[in-house]
Amino acid sequence: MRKFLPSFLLSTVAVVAAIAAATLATAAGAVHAAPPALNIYTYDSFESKWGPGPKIKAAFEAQCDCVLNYVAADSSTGILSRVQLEGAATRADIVLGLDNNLMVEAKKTGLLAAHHVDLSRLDAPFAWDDPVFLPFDYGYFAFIYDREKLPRPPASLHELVTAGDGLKILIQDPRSSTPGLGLLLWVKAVYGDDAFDAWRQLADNIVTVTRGWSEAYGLFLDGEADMVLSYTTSPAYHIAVDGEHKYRAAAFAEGHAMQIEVAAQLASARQPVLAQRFMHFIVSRAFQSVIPESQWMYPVVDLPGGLPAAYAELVQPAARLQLDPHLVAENKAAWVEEFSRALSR
Amino acid sequence: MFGVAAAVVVLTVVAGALGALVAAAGRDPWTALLAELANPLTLSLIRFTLWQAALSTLLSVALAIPLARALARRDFRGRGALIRLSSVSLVIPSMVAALGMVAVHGRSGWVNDLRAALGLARVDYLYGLTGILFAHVFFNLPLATRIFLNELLTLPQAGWRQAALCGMRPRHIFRRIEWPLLRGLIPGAAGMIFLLCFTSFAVVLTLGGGPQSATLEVAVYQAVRFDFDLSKAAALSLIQLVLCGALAAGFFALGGGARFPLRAGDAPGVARPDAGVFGARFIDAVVITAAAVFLLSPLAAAVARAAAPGGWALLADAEFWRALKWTVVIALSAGALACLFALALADLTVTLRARPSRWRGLALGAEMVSVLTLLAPPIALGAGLFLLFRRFTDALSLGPALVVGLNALLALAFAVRILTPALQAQRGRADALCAGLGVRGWNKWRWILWPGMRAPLAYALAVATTLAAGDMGVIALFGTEELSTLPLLIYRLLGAYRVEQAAVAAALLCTVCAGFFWVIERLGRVGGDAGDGELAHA
Repeated sequence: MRKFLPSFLLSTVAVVAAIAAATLATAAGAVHAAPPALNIYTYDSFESKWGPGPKIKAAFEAQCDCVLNYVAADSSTGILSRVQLEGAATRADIVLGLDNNLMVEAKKTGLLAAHHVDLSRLDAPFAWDDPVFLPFDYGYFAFIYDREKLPRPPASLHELVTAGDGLKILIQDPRSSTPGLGLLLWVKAVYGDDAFDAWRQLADNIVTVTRGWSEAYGLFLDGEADMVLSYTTSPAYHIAVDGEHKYRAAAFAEGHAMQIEVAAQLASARQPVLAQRFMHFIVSRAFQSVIPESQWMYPVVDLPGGLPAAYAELVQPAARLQLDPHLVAENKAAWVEEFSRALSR
Repeated sequence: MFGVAAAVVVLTVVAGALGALVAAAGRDPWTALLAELANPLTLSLIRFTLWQAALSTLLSVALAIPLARALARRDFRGRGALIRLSSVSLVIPSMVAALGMVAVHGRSGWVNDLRAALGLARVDYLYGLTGILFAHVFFNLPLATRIFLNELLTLPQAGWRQAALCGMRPRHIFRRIEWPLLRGLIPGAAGMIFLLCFTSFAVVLTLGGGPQSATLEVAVYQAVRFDFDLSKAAALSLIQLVLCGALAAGFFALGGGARFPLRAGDAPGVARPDAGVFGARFIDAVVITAAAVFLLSPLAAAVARAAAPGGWALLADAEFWRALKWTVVIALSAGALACLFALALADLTVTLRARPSRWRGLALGAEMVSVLTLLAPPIALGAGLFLLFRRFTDALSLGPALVVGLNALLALAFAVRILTPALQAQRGRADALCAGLGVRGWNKWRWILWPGMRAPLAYALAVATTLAAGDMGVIALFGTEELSTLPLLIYRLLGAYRVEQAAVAAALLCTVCAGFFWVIERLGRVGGDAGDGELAHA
């Protein structure tokens, strides 16, 4: 043990050197590799092994003679702030994973370019004519419950708000999570100027407000609440993967707020041609067919085989609620503050 | 003069990162700062942050005193194991701890299951301020206990015999013997705990309950992530740095710096005259049982959650092994780097303390440099460094190096607190002698100081390594497809509905942390005097 210090110092130096070497090797490898690399910034559940990322990467690489790299932020809002941090020096060619409620702000950064994709190829229950953002999937926010534990879920947002303290829900923070923001706008769309009072009434039902979807859904599966804010498509995961039919989305009479997930190409893309190819690839069947059973959202084009069987059991929204994106961009800060004040009591 | 260099590096990184934020924001920083200070929402944030940190500190320290007393005067089977296991809570990733807390105290947790089995109604008590306090006490009670316990165990057996001869009752013993001993330790311990609770992030996000219990650290995160308002982020970071820094400096100035316990504290309790008193026996039994249940149950729950059969498929997954590899590499190199810096800073502090009194202020300053990285929100540091590096190179290609460097900085505060008092003791004994004999430089370090520094150095390395292994704040910023660690993997598994696999990953992360901790700490103790090290070779 007398030799601990020298070996300690040596091992430190060795480890640091190994990391430096690994870093350099990676960098050098990138220089020597023949095929060009397309960098896509996305959030981690898209990129992860269990998300659609790997299959989409394989499908695109099979036809592009290129390497597709994902850079994953920890959340959807993190993608944009990362690109903003990197500014014009960013390596990103494409951002994938923003949503309809973040579009206006994202455009204001001036970092994005037009997609040039023929939008008539889309086949989705919403009109789309945005020249910069291209939808790649969509879904409806909903509260998920376990029907064995909650036989009579609320039938409307109003019933949820007036349900009394006994019904416990988990929601996400609108400042860090797109479902959280979606719920904020959903309540706004239904309650308008009375949203503050609705949130105050709801405050006692909320077990906790988590940073992201993952924490809330994990807590729900652990039995920490009766309902969790997620998507109407979440039960499809449990049906298809676990064969579990007890999880259901509560259908609300007022209708459900919609989330449209979008991608855009960067004006500063280092691989503009490849990026263009990928944007066209997004609306192809090869890309879209991966969505239903890995992203657990609806595809934006018609799939030849239709949707997977698990989707037949899902709730169809009575109405699709969406606020004007410009109205959202203008008022988001004030509405978030309203939400914070209502819950802070 | 490695110390000055280390201090300069730390200061440059923090100032550079915050400066880059301000520069990129394009708004006059003072205007932004004043606007934040005039904002009632910010003020209520500051109020809540202070309130929860003060309560957490008070609870941790107040509960640590009876626990340390009980452990000092009792010897029972499993005492050593209890002390060692509970010390794991210092280094357990807060994300895993939060999961464990939920499994024990949540609505479907063990406590509520027990209540339901007894025919009682389930109760909600975890989320909100309670949850934050529970978690903070879970993290910090063992730390405070260990500090106090080590001090109580230094009392010589002869003293106790005298106390017995004088017929001292337990309360006299506390008032005359123990309290004067502990009093001096409280400010330092409280300062460190206050700092940790003030800047706590993951726990507050998960268990806080919502906007009503947000802290400054959370607000900085939201300013960067949601509003992309960099001047707001810089302003809030500055408020946190100044406010929390001033309070912590106050504590440290009172207590001569926080002292981290060097020994594991599992030396057997000594025979004391107050041990046999019936009231004391009863109290000790209650205190030890309650503490054991409170501290060990979340750990047990975190492991028990992994029992679901579906989760173990994770082991067949290449992603898991890659994450494990990076966790080990990053943790070890960040830990080693932190210790090198900490040793240099500790040396600087001790040198300055030995100077005439007008240098003392500088010594405190040198100590504060090391906690600077704990005070500055990691998200602000990370964002600032991103901005800095983008001028020269692509921040992502620096990924692993940046993650290691930032984690080393974050662990620095702990390593410095462990090494400074140890070095102070060693140099206090050896400096004059060495000067007289003309032993200097490497020889002095290798032959005079090293024998006594080996144990603290190993302990510092153990703490820094495990902290880095559990890091989520830095890796969330710089992680990529290739560069992922176990905490990031847990988060990704949760994001893909894989709750069972996430539980397995969490249990394994726990095991990795505990393993690192014990193995490295043991390395420093094998074959040598484990304690405060005497001058064996002088």
